[in-house]
Amino acid sequence: MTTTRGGRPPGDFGELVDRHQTEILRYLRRLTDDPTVAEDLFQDTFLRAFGRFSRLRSDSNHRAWLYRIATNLFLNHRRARGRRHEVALTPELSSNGPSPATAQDGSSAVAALRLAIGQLPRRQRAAFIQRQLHGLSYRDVGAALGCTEAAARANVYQAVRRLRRALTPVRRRP
Amino acid sequence: MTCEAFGRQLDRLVTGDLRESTAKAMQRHATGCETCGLAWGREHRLRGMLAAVAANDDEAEAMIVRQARVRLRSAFDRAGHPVIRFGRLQTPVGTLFVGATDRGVCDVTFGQSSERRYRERLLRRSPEVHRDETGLTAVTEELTAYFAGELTRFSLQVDLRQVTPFTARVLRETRKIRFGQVTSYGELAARIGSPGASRAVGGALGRNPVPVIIPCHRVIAQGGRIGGFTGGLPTKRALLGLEGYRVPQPTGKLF
Repeated sequence: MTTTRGGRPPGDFGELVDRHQTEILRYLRRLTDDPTVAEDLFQDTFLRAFGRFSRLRSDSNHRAWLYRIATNLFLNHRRARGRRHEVALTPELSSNGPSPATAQDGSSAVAALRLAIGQLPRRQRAAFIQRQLHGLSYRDVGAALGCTEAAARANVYQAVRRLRRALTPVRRRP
Repeated sequence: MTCEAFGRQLDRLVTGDLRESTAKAMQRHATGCETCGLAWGREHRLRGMLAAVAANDDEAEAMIVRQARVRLRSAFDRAGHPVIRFGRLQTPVGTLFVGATDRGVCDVTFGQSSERRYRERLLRRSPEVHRDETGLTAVTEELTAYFAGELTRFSLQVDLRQVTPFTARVLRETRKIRFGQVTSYGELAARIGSPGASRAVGGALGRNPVPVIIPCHRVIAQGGRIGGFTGGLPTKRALLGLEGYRVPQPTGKLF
């Protein structure tokens, strides 16, 4: 049995919300740079979870289960919304916006990293945020993404390489 | 350690998946090799930045979560999962549990003795269920007055969101049946414009979430037979008796 962080499984759904709402909202706010979208997905996550809660075994890993629901909603949301719409809603990520490498000097280095994380491909972004920022095990990342532990690990490593490239200033050609 | 091996392990430094012995070997290599030394420093900076992002410096977050929780409650309400307050009261027909939302009474249950089980049943419909008699004063007062024979017409709002439109239509029509009067399933079907649908009407009455307040006990079978009742036929007889309706004695024949 994989225990949820906090040990004992929640007795009722309200307790589950109390225990994980901050974390799930933070996760979704990190996945998407649009706070309104994040909150919509947050509501949908818990509404969907409520519909399935009674069928969930009490020894299930509720935390990973919520991440899975949130992640699926995020991936499907982006897919449904389409690429053009996505760019229109997030102008700072379009080609004219700042690139992480140029925004990197001094105190804005952390901001540059945030920007670079936001530009990761969706699955890599989800895997990376779960593992590196929320401390999920690779096994739970795999469960959340619906893939194997090895594939989850690969997604995180690809994300790291991509971040490194994004944060390295492009050398001027001679 | 070679530069090649160093490069292979570099990703693990950022993810924190590096064994301590490997990390030490890498550090030794990095002090002797200029290129790898630069990479070592860069990776450490990246790791530090990641820690800063993970530390989450969003001071407004607590407020954002609080507001999101309030809106989550509304979203649940809109989706048919409202906050439910419940209480229990003693009546001549036994213990009665009543539940209410902000819109009105949503549940009246007979024959349930365990508060825990009642709460569990409500929790299947709503993520937020509280025992709160003070919020239900109007409900318990009217019910108590009814059972004391002092009230013949409830003024309580009911919340019928959890039933189908057909059932709601049947129940609204049922509510018009006066204290002490009865009607038949067929007659009720005709009144809602679905003559011949007496069986469906019977089914709808069986799903009445607020018996007594919506008096489904006032609907009886044709030929003076009493029909059915979710709270049990003795309860139905008792309620009709309380309202002064002379209930035909059971003949011993079921059909």
